[in-house]
Amino acid sequence: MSYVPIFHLTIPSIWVSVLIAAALTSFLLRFALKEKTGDWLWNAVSLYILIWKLSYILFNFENFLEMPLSILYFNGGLYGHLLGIVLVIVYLTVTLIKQPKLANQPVFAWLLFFVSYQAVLQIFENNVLEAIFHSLLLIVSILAIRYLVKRADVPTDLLLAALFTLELLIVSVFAPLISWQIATLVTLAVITTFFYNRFTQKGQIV
Amino acid sequence: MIKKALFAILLLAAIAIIATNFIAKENESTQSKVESNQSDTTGLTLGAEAPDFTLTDQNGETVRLSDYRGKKVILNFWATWCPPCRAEMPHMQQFHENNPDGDVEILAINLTAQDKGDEAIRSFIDEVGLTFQIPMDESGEVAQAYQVRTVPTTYILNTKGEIAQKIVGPMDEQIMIDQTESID
Repeated sequence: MSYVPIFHLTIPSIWVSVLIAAALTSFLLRFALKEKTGDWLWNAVSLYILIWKLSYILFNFENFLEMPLSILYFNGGLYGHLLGIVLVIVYLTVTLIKQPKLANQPVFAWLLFFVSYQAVLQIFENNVLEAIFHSLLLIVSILAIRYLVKRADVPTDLLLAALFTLELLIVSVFAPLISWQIATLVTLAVITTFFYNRFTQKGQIV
Repeated sequence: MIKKALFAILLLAAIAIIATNFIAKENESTQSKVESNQSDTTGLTLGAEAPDFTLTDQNGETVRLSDYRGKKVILNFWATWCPPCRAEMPHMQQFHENNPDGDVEILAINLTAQDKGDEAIRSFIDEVGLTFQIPMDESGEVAQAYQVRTVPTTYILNTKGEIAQKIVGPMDEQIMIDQTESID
């Protein structure tokens, strides 16, 4: 676990990587899908960060009452993360049911987000080789989505599964494969793919 | 055609994942041996041996860092006038209470030379109910040796007394658990 010094604080590099990856995803998704990334992405990211941060109050209520200022320094930790992800899933479900057309974005966004997150994080951690592998896969993923997604003979879920398995391979070479991060990602993958397939079958996504 | 290629990629990658996970486990033991050979001289860089010191704690007991070899040490620097330090202390107490085996020792060095006096320090310790050792750096020499410029600053030491991590800013209990579990 490495830290990034910002002003007089050291911030875990995973959180800096999350923000950079979210910004990258918004930009790369636009390139890959040739359409503007919807507001849903930043809504989901903001919702997650807000819940993750504020859930400190929920899980450390006594500490918070004693020192309310501690909310500035701490976050909800793993439970906060899980709560944040549950609410992001609820948000996505509600949004996609209202606007099925949007479903083609999140289904690719989670992959682009995770691969760029890994690339940025490994740069912070100074793992040059691993960073290069993730970056290469990121480029391959963007091009694959851009050029294969509209083709009828390429099933989207197969394309995503192949890219994701490659990403898991890179991760597993350098770190333990079973982690909360991977569990989170698989959950998001399953849910977004479910919506995508459902709306495609209904003809709501062109 | 592309569909078949994608299937092939998926399958090969899955097999490779299984293969790497088995091979990786065999390599782990040799890797840690290489790391342990890199024993270093005293210093503040990661992997270096933390500078030794002797101070007196809040109960008048002598605390010498080198006496804690064989234990992981959370070496924290703090002062009562620093809000993030105050926010961090209940977490440190919780961590201390949840670690009854005592394989991780907390030494929370108070910057006594820069603090607001003995009374302020004692009333804070009582108020939060801190029971771990709080060595008093009355001359400021230890803080200087550790180049502590902002508080809280924490050095995580492994069982060999080497610096495994430096963290500036407050830590919560989870960070302390993650940091101490990830080192030898």
